[in-house]
Amino acid sequence: MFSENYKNAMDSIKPDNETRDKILDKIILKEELTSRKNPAIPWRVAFACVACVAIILGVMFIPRNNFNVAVKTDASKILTVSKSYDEIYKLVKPKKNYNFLYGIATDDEEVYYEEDIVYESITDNSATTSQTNGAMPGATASDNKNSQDGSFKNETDDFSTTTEQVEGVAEADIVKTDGKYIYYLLGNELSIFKAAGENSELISKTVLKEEKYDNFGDMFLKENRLILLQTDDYIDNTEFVTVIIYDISDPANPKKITTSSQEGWYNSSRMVGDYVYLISNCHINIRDIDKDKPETFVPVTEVNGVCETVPADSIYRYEKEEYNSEYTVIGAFNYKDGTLSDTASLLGGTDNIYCSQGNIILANSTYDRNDEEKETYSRNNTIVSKLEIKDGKIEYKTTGEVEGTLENQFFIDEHKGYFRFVTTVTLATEKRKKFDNSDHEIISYSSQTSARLTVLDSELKKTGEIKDLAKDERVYSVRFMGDVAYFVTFRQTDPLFSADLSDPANPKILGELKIPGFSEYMYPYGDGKLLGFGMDADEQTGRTTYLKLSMFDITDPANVTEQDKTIVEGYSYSTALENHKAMLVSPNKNLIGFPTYDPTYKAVGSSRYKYMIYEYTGDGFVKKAELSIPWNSDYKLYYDSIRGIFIGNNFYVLSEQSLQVFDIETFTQLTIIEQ
Amino acid sequence: MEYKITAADAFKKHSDMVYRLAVARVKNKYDADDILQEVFLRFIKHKDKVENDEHLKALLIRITINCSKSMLTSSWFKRTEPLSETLSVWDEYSDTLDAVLRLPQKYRTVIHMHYYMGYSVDEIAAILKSKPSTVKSQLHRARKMLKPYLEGETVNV
Repeated sequence: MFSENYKNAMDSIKPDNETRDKILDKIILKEELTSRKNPAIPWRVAFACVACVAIILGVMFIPRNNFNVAVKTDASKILTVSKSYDEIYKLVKPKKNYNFLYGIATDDEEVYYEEDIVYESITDNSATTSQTNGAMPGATASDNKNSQDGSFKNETDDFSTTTEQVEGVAEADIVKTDGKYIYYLLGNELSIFKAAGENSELISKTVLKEEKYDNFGDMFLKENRLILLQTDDYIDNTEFVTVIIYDISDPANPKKITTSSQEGWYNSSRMVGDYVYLISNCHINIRDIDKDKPETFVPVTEVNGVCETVPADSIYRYEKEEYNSEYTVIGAFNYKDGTLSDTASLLGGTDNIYCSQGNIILANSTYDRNDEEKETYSRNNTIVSKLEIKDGKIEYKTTGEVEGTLENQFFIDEHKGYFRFVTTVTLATEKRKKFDNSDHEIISYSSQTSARLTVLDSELKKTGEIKDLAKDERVYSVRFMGDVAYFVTFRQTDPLFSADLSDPANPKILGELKIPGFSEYMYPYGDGKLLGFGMDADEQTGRTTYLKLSMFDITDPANVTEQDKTIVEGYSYSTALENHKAMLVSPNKNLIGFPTYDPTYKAVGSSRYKYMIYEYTGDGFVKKAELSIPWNSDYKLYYDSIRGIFIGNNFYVLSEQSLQVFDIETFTQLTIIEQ
Repeated sequence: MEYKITAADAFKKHSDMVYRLAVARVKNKYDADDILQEVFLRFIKHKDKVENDEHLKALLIRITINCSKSMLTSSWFKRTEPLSETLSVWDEYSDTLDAVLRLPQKYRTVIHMHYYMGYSVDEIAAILKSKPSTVKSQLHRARKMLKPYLEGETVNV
């Protein structure tokens, strides 16, 4: 286990006794010399520092008490459009005195402490603010056709597509297929395979960039275009997501058409119609901003070698002045030629993205606190902003707020013009008592979590909600299916709630099913079935054990039952617990596939990675295959690189080292192609 | 009840913590020794502002990070040995530690704070005065790079 190994290694690291003694002597000496000169710190500063540390650190360590207090939150907020870069400059420029957190050094002559407003990387060379942008040599390719994927079915013709949340909204992944060819993007390498069962072959391989840690890529496929999204993961000062478009009419010889880029680190992307919507989070390097150079504090895009800053009138900000060092940038790129048809930018970060065919919802968690004389209440909320997308145009509409935080895109849904959210609400409270009439106080903390379902209208104003569900639990997974929402919370057992949302003003809980363990993701699996993928847990202790597949019968949403389940004995981890795209769910083919990691792996020559295949018979889950994935210790640094797909009668497993081809019925290996 | 701690006591209590964080940041023993001394000498100035044990730790972490930053930018640092030589300083070679020390510095810091010191994303953000989303993304990327050692673990954020 990583953390144990790391702990053991670190525990053995200590300063020499000799060094230690020497240092201690010096400290004692200097301390004596300075002992009579320290002024007492003002009460307010001391107070502020305790409060902050308490909230942030204290919640973790203090036993829970129950309480019920309403925290005031702002109602719906609208962002305003910026008029000029000057106006933006004022917002991003750091205000003085940023040391509220620990009350340190506000009036201290030592600059080193005060300067560190933003925690940035330090490299040996000093910081520069130029727009770094890699040009990439090389090329590869093939041809394909348009795939219109639905969220409930996982395939179009007779091949699998990336697991997607919303019908008509394509999601990027490292593997794409058009039924004839398989495209696999790993780090800076694009491999194209001809998919022909035992005659499959690698027909081209393109190196996109010569950079070692350039390890993040995502990809869309549409007609004869491959749209690659790459992020310069290793460049510290300025990060760009590069959009590279290849013409793959001749897959053996893919031709690069254009390279565009957008500032920030890759957050997410979707493709609707002819446009790829790229969402990046862009940090401003506060130390380097210059009023006369907008590119130092405004996000930059580059198309065909022309760099442009996002126009001031496409940047939205809060009405009230609020310090911010991060933007969310959304660019719409045409899939054919990479032209940028529109951009928009919001001051403030984004944690999760939901995208329907007509709207993008950006969700950003916030931390609110409410100070009163003797008590402070705090909670995490989520600011949601709606942007309308239409034929490559992006228009900011409105901003609202839901209480609590959400884990991933499946926690958000749009249906019949209403937006629905399932969140975990955490309330923390801190009580202060004066101690002996001195300036010092006794502080006690408590926190409580619960689940909440909120319905907002198209203006993001609340129409209805269900509060205080699942006390002391956290929401693990959500699936919206039309008027019904299913969600799983967990602490020791796994209640699966079903809720009726047909009346937006009055959502209702329909049923609750308690079972051990929890599901991280839920996938519709044919009529009246919902597949859950997660972990099993001990009912007494709540400790998780092994991976678990559950089949829920949702024919009657008011009476959901766990019809069948299977525990993947011996396997306690899968990347599909964190990324829905790593999972293959095909009700039509009756295939469920996911990668796992074998914790007992020791022997050289065996593999630590497995790909599991299950089918569901109606009586239960049947394990069809446990495929070994070739692996040697000469690893590259790619995380979450294993995918399984099917095309016709063949099943393909892609990994860093190879493409393996199996018969879809027997799962005997037909061929293996080393990468 | 007033919280009082001398720099000497703080040193006795937390010298290992500071030293290990320094190692994770500067990757060698010699600089870590210097940082250890510097941190507590600077701490003398701040000791009366400390309110409780958690605050003390957070403050020491901040100072360590600041000290190792200025250490990194000083020209003296650039002359120090490459990783392979400094690693031999440890009694026992650990490939996990080696993998962590190969990461960029900002990633090493969050990995160390999360996996060794046990801080959550929000706590790390508070101590480093960074945004939770930034810490989250740094942890996420660091974990990607550490893949072979991290299978089977999840980060609670």
